[in-house]
Amino acid sequence: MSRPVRTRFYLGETFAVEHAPAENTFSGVAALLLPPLGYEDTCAYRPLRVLADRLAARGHLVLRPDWPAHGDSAGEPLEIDQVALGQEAVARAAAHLRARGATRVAGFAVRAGGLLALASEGLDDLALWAVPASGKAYLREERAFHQMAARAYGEAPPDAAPPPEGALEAGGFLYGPRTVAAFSGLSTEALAARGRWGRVLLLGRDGLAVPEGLPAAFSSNGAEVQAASPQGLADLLENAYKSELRPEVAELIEAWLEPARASAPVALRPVDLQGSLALPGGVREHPLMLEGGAGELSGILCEPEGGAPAGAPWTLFFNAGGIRRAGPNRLWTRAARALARRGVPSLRFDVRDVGDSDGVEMPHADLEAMYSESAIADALLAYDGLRARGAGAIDVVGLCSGSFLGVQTADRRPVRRALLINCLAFVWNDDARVSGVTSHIGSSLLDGRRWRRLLSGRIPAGRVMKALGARAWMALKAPFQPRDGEDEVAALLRRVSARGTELCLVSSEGDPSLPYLERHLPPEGRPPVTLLPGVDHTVRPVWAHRRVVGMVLGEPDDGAGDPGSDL
Amino acid sequence: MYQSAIRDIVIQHARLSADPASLTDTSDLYAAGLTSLTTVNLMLALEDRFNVEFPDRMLGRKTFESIASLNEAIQELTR
Repeated sequence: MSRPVRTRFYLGETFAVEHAPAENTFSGVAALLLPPLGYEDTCAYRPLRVLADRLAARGHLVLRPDWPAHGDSAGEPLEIDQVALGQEAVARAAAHLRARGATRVAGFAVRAGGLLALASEGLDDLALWAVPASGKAYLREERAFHQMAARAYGEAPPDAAPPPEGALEAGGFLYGPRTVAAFSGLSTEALAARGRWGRVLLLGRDGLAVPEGLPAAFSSNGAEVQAASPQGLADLLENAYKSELRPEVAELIEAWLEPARASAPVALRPVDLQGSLALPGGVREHPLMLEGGAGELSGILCEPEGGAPAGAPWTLFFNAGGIRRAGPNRLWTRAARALARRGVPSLRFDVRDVGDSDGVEMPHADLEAMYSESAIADALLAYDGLRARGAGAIDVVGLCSGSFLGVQTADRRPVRRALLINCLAFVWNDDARVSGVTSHIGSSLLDGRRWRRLLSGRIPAGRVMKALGARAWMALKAPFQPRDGEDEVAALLRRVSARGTELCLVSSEGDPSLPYLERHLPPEGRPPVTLLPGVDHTVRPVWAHRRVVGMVLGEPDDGAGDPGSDL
Repeated sequence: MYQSAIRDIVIQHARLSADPASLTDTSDLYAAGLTSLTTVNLMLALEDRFNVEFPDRMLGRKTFESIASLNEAIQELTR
């Protein structure tokens, strides 16, 4: 099996990545991978990319679109009907796959992606994982998810504006009033009974059976229905940097696609591709690929229409932990477009192992890889890529591990301004390693799921032992630590400031980044830290998004939040 | 009165990191590893088993924080 060819392009307002099989191996089967929505999409992105590669290596042509108002596609959630635009996106994607020569187009859709797939035209076969019983049921599940998570956000300030009437907030994402209304009218069983599919695979939700009546609704119109209830949905949707698709689920999908394979290899036809996306306000985006140590690294350039003039200042956005370049709650996409409307170009970039860049297929056992010299090398590659495009001053923006990459970049290259949000480690040393281990491995020591992964070889045992060893070593040597000499973190920040970088430190109130700063920076000379009250580590809920976008734009911070403002 | 059935469902659907045998009726399920996502899983499983629907006012951590609190909620919904 050879490595698939990946191509990034746009289908109208939809960003998509195609994973093409090697020459002369095309099975004739196209798989359209339709992700879930909102926070679930954030988590599922990387595992679905891995699945796409796996299916392409078996000869299938695979397409992964971003839903409207998600990732790098166009649209703001409060302004659009995501159901109607989602249907258009599916139809366009299916048409693209047929134009490429597919003899059979199958959709594999997760959660609400399944509702949108059912409501769409153009698919021959359909695999649905944990499709909700109806649009109303889905919205209720999202509301419940939001209410369960809300306690972690703390108390919102009095001027925090709620989402507009008729909209729904869940997990840092919004469903606008038109989307809520459209979802409310969707019945899974009624859509299934329309019966346009040849083969249907129904996968239940972590041991829960598929909705009663659904298999019969499909088969009543002649569809050949298979059903299974695999475990693994929570592994896919719970946490962006730990998310994975269990091999047994991937095997189910592979086996289900196999009977549709043509009897002989099918010719893959070339088609014209749309290479950029025009957005309101005179903004244009296009993909940027760089070759790095881990392979192909992926980013999106966002520029004022006509391109950025030579010497213009640029902004460089880094990944927040395992979250792809669109940023936490798609904040980087939103901020990049707001910058471009004001004439400022930017690059939002995936370092290795994250989002759409090459690297590991399974999640890391610890945080170390996100704070490695390799990740810094990728960040510098992006920086140098902007310089090669004629960038003048460069600002960097990062959250969590992205802050680490931001400050490390500023230590090695001229950076005008560094907006560093909720940084848990500016330097990857024993202190950071231990706090990282505590927050990830340490909290998982009692987690049977993690041990099962370790024992099955899916987590490298060496990594875990190294992390635990560091933790034990720190505990042993802590009483003997020298107290003289400048703290490594303080020295780094002093050095970066001395290089001329304006440091803008931001912490959510109650976030571990605050005690980290207090531990390492003496009160005298500590750069000012802007506090975000009522907000979690990844800047949820959405009322705070405007405030953070305003910080990216360099506006005076008035502390006000508003989820609806377009800035 | 529903504690035993609720316990079975919690063990099957809540993906707790703690040892199920250590769970008492008042154990904090969130401390035992229940997450926002798996709470929804648990909610759906309980609704399916008891043929009820949690109203919006019950969709919070307080309802799902222990087997005892779930038992109270289910009792109220099945009255």
